[in-house]
Amino acid sequence: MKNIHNSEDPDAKMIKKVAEGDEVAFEQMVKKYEHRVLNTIYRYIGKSDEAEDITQEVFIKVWHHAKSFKGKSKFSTWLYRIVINQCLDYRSKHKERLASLDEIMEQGKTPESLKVEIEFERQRKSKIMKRAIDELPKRQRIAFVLSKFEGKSYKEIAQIMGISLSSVESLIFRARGALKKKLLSLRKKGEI
Amino acid sequence: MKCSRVRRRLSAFLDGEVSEEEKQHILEHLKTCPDCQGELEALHQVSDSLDYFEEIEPSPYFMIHLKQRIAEREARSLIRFPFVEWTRRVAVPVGAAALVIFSLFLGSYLGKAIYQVRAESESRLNMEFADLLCVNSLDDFSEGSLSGVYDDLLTGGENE
Repeated sequence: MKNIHNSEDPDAKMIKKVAEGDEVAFEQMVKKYEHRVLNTIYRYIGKSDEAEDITQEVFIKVWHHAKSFKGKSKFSTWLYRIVINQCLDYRSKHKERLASLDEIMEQGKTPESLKVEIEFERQRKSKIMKRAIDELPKRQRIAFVLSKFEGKSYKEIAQIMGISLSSVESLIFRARGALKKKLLSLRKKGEI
Repeated sequence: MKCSRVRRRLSAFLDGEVSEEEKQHILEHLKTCPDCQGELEALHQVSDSLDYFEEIEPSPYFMIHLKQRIAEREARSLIRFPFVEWTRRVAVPVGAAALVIFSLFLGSYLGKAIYQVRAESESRLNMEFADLLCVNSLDDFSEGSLSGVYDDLLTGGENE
């Protein structure tokens, strides 16, 4: 039988073992990717508790569907496709109103004491960044998060999202433009 | 390279997604174009701002919770599995056979019922037709006159 797993994929052997039900290989795979998957999801949905929950769902899917991975792409590409689908699924089910950038700026104006102010300021800036990314259209957000935070190449992002290379470039270009507009106006005001 | 072309490619340039040749063209352009330099600086500031975006760590119990959830899912599927298997192996064939038998009985019953209704209907029609031909037609003749008509037909009216 022809080996369908990509020989250039460093995870090929590991995922093959996972597909055979090897729990040790599964644990190794989780350890290798949990931090990256968790933070990709966190940057996409902006909530740490939910991000961990969704991360677990991603790995449960990998465990149950590892046999369906045919090695036509790298394992990490296949994994990130699951991540993106889980994120989109979460966002379609949770359409609660998000606080605007202005509301976050208002919240940041009343730190309780000098000691907590630094941490408060860091958290406030982090919230601003989360919200700025959150306000991007979803395809721009996915492409940008994968590029900026995961260090994925445009080619990998194109494979993960199932779109062309030029579309990836366009999405990231527009995402950067939108973020620049939002964040530079805040910088001019000295808010960040 | 024109400014508009350079600006469209600055994002890819920052991500290292342009060819070496194009990279040199962009660098050459940036040396002489303060506007595009400003645009590049602005995009750098966006990247710097993103550093405020904190990273989070998986909880210490991440793997334990994950294994628990997998075990729960598998336990649920094991409970479902025998039922699914029983349904596939027993219930479906038995149900299909029962459906065929029921269909045969139903067909037979309906056939009989339809035949009976049709037979009754034909019988009733025949009777009505006979009534119409014989009885009703003869209503116009007075009692005892029918034998006279036959006699006339047989004798050719010689009796008159």
